[in-house]
Amino acid sequence: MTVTVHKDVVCTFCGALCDDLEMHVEDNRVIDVKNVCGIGRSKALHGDNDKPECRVRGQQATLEQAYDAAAEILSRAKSPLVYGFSSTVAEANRVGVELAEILRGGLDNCSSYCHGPGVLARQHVGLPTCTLGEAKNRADLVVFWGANPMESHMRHFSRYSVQAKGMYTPLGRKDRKMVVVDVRPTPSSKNADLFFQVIPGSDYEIATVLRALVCELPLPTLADDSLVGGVPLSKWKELVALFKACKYGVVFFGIGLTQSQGKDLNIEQLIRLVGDCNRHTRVYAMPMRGHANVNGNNQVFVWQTGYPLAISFNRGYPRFNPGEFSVIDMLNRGDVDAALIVATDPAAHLPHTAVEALKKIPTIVLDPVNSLTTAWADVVIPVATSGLSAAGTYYRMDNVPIRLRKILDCEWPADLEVLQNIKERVLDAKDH
Amino acid sequence: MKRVIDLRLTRVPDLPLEADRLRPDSLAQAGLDELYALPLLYGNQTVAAGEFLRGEIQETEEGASGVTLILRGDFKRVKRLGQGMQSGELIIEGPCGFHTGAEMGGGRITIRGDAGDWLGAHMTGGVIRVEGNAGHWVGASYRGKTQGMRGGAVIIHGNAGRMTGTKMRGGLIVVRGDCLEFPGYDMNAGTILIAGRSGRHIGSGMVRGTIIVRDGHSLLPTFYHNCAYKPSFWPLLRSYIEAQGLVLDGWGADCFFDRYSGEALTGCKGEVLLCHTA
Ligand code: SF4
Repeated sequence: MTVTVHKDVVCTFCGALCDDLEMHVEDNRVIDVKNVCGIGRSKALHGDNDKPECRVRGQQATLEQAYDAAAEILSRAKSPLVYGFSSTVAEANRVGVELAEILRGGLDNCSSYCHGPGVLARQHVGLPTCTLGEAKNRADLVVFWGANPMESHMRHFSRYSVQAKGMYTPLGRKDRKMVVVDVRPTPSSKNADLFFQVIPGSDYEIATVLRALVCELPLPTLADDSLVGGVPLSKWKELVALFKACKYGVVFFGIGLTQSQGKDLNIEQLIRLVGDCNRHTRVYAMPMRGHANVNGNNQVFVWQTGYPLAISFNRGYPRFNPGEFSVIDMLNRGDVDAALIVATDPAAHLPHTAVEALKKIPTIVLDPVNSLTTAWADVVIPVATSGLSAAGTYYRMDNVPIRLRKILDCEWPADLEVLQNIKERVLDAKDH
Repeated sequence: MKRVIDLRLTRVPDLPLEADRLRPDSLAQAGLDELYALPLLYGNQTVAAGEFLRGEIQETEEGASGVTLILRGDFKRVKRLGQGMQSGELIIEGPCGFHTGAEMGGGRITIRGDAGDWLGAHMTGGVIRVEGNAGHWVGASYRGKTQGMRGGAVIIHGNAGRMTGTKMRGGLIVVRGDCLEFPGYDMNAGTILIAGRSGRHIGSGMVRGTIIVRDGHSLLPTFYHNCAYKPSFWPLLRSYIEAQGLVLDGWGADCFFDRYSGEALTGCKGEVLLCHTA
């Protein structure tokens, strides 16, 4: 058997979407991967193995039977939910939106419980942001707030931020200052020049004080040794001095900030802080998006419906209200009577109560691999793996669209094709 | 002529029911048949109100004229009751769901149970009284909008959730119990009184307006102490709240307040009053 080497393949595990992988393929299997981190490697090596069986109510079925069953469940539902999409291509997202509209159902994606608050904050106060290429070539100050890329986005440091050597940062790490703000020491914080270990849930207060310091407002109730978020004010002043002295700063914020107390308001305040810093120098903010294409979900949902997440079509037109139409809240209240889940594993990610609610209703899942959800879903449709056996577009965490190629053959269709088939059947059912 | 429409929920809906057509001012003429035919949104289906409601209409010549709509039962899953109403009275004998009284411009709503989130969001007039607890976002603005409640009053006998009065632009919110974090977030004008314990970050981002609280343990350092004084408006506000049927224990007419101005980051024109003697 000959080994084919594919260069510049995109890793589809995390939002960093490294696009320089080298994949060695033999007999339609990836046998080796180069330029990749540990988590990316295991996704590349095993992402297209372990396909679930095509099943309808526990019985093996053909694809046609599965499409029919899915369309029947969905077109009968009074309050269906179409949800997921974090690991599938933008093109499939678009059909998902169309399907939700035809069904007059709910539509949500995984950012609803990870980086959604950051998206909501961006709607309110905007986002001064840059691309990862700019961060690599220009940033002389990188701040990681509530993010631990050493464990979640392992090649972020070497490709884009801390150690990357760029046009104006030829020495890499030596040309940069690195700051970490987190609730506990992490592998990332060990590399930092300055580490702030803060009390959980104090981010809003910290960002407010930092803003006041940047704007040189009086803080009469605080002395230099007063603790703000568990850290003395004098140390925060050092951070502000770093901000003001840098030529190009980037604040990467992670799920530690978006999902702690205050949520979107934490990000609003952080973005405003970054805005205030821009009175002195150039500073940007960027969310450290987790799942590979969760940013693409927001992008597609916005250009299709006007809203990034938590959408309801039950009146025939899109309405948006996080808290009312977001997946966890809808499931917890029992507002859903059928669910179509695409490219995510709710049984692994959602709280127990929401999973129990899902188990009580007819559930259709499209997944390239066996997951906790495929074990009990009513209809299971195996699909090709985006980036390995299906092509399409993903959005990197800095909103740059990246094209994925198909390098393996797969006996199962891509999400896009499955969704189109279900859509056509639903349209037929609604016509009659 | 006084018209009393007394309806009872015959079954609790198993999916959310949107009932923005149930408001007293649009039922001034309707007979029972017309009322039962009103379209409600049940999940994504339009159903007739009669599928969920039964009751009677009484008309008398005595007393003040107007329409009173009484709803009896567990309306927790029913959203948008009294939304946009301009006059009349709505009495809910039980709990109610999201958006009750949202965008209302006049009239009265009395809720003898707990209210859902977004109670009185964007309201411009009228009075809402809740005998139980209220949810999050009382009198707030919906996402993407810049102004929340602009007038009227929301009187809550129990507790309130997060983000009470977010982006509020006018009117009054009174919470006799406790409330969760971020009351008066990005507030533009208006008055919020929290008689119990308040969650953290009172009035953060407030531009103008007044927030009256009992304990200020969570005031951000961007609020500055000005003075201790007896504001002349306090006895008036207090008697207005009493007239609405809510007595605040320990908040006498001669209360002293510590005045803080803030938030500094947004111009420092808002005020937080800390009750001294309560
Ligand atoms: S950092 Fe993320 S995108 Fe890059 S190789 Fe690792 S898992 Fe893949």
